[in-house]
Amino acid sequence: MVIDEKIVKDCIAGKRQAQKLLFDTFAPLMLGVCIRYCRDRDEAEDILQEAFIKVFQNIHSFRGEGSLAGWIKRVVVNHAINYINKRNKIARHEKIDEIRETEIIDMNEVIEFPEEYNPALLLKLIQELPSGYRTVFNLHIFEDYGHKEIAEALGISENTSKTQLFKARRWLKNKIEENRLKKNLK
Amino acid sequence: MSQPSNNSGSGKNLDDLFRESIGKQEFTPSPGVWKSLNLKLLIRELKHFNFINVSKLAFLSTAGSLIVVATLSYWAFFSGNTSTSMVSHSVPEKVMVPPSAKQNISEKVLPEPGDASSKPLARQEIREVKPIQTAIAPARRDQAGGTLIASNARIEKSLPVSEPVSSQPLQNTGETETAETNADISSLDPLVFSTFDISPSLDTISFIRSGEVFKYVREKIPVPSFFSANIGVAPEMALYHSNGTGTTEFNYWANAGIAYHYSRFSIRTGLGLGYTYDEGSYRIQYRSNDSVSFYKEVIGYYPDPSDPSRIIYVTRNHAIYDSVTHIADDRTRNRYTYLQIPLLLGYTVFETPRFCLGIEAGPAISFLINEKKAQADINIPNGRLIKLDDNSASRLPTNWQLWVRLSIEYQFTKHWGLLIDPYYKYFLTSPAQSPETGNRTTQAFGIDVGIQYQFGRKSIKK
Repeated sequence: MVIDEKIVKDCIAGKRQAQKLLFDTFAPLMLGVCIRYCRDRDEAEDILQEAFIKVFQNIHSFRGEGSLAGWIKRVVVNHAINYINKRNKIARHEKIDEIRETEIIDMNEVIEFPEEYNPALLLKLIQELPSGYRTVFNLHIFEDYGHKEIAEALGISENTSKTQLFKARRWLKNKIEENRLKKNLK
Repeated sequence: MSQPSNNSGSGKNLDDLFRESIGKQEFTPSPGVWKSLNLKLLIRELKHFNFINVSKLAFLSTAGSLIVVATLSYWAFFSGNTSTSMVSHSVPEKVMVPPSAKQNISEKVLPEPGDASSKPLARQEIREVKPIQTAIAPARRDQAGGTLIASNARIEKSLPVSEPVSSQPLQNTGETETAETNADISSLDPLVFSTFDISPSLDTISFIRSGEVFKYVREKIPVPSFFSANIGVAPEMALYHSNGTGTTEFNYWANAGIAYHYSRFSIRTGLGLGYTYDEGSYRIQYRSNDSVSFYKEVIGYYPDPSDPSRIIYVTRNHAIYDSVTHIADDRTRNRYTYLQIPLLLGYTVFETPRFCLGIEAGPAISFLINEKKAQADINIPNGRLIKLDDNSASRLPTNWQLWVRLSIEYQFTKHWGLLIDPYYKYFLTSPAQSPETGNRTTQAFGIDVGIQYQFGRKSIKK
């Protein structure tokens, strides 16, 4: 489905049919984004819904310079971050306090995996990540955020972002190894 | 944006593994997500008065109704409680006046005992030109409202002390006198009386009969105002029309409402829950191996016994099959559940103590709260389904209607009554949109049957 300029204008004018068309076009991809930041689908759909309200509220600020999908994704990701920040404020701070700077080790460690992992399992692993790890991992891997940007978005230090990413990777690696072992044993 | 670290290795690096596997993964949201989002957007629009999604006609009709309601409310509440709504009385009065011709008479009308709403009139100077006579109060029509007006108020005439007192007999020999009569209005000769009100007033009518001044007090009767609540059920016939074709469906509604009645006017709102039906349409494309022809296989031959020069062939028929694509249409019946909120203004045309006939009109909004679509019946023997298209008209989340209804009410007790309201709905915005036929025009006829309970009624209907 091609979203043309007229549909964007209609969305700015608040026409419901155009809004629905925009939603139907981008919601599946954006739900995929939201699901990565949450533990379950219901929570992801809540975030998606609120994010699209923001999209419709602010679509007038889309100037057509980049892709509309990219702009909507930024809105969705920002909303997901705000949502998670509000929900996990206390929990995240507790976890961050536990991290010592000395734990920051080589970030360029190579971790190799076979290619046969199916997407559903990988998504499940991401959803099982501790909330702090998950957010940093998502922002870094999928949204291409640098540690400075992650630090600004989450209100943490760059080193903490690096640590969280490292721990997230290690956690995922261990889980994948566990799964591989279980599979081999079977 | 800075790039993530680029790990290298013989296998797949963890970052790439995740990025490539689930980076562009898509999930179809539940249908409830859009519904809920739509509702939130609607609430937000209502809060911010963004009515762009409401058709102009619906907006104008609602705005017009609100203006009418506001005007009526203003008229009802600021014209004062001393409404001029009059009721005819068969108790006219006969006044005996002292024979003090050509003198100033000061009149003062006393309020009817027990009539708290009546107020004493201001003193008025009225010059008499003829001798007094005994008169019977007539009935007359109010020029403004055409309502029959008379009075059973007592009239007290006060004579100034300075004026000479008449020697003619009076019912009361003092400075004041009071007289009442129960004569029949119909026996009066209206020609005897002056035909104009000599001192126009909201509270009284004054005119001269044979030189005598008569003053009639408009009786103050509280304007009937009360609330009523009603519940009922309404079978309804809906007519869908698009591109020259029409279908008819029967819908069923359960309604509850509340109304405020003031004089002959009323304003009604409420909630209705309805099952409505519409035709579903599926296009089924399937392929099957069908016999398209046949051929004859020669399985033997022999010379014709009667004519040996001829050969008779023995054959067997064989069907020829081919893969044939079929297109079939399947009609289904879908059910949709709506919640509707009307805002109706009413006017009572005819009223007796037990029976009431009125007309109501106004806008209504309906919200789609549930839909149950029937699945296509796919029965393809020896074939396989290629494509299934749902061509059913998709229902829109809200629609606006204009209602006109006749309100027939039979009051069987003081509070309880039977309501029978035939009605007509015209859909200002289409309730459904079809990919093939576009928007659908809809009208509906129905009859709402229910019971009504009146409460807070201040006066009994005459």
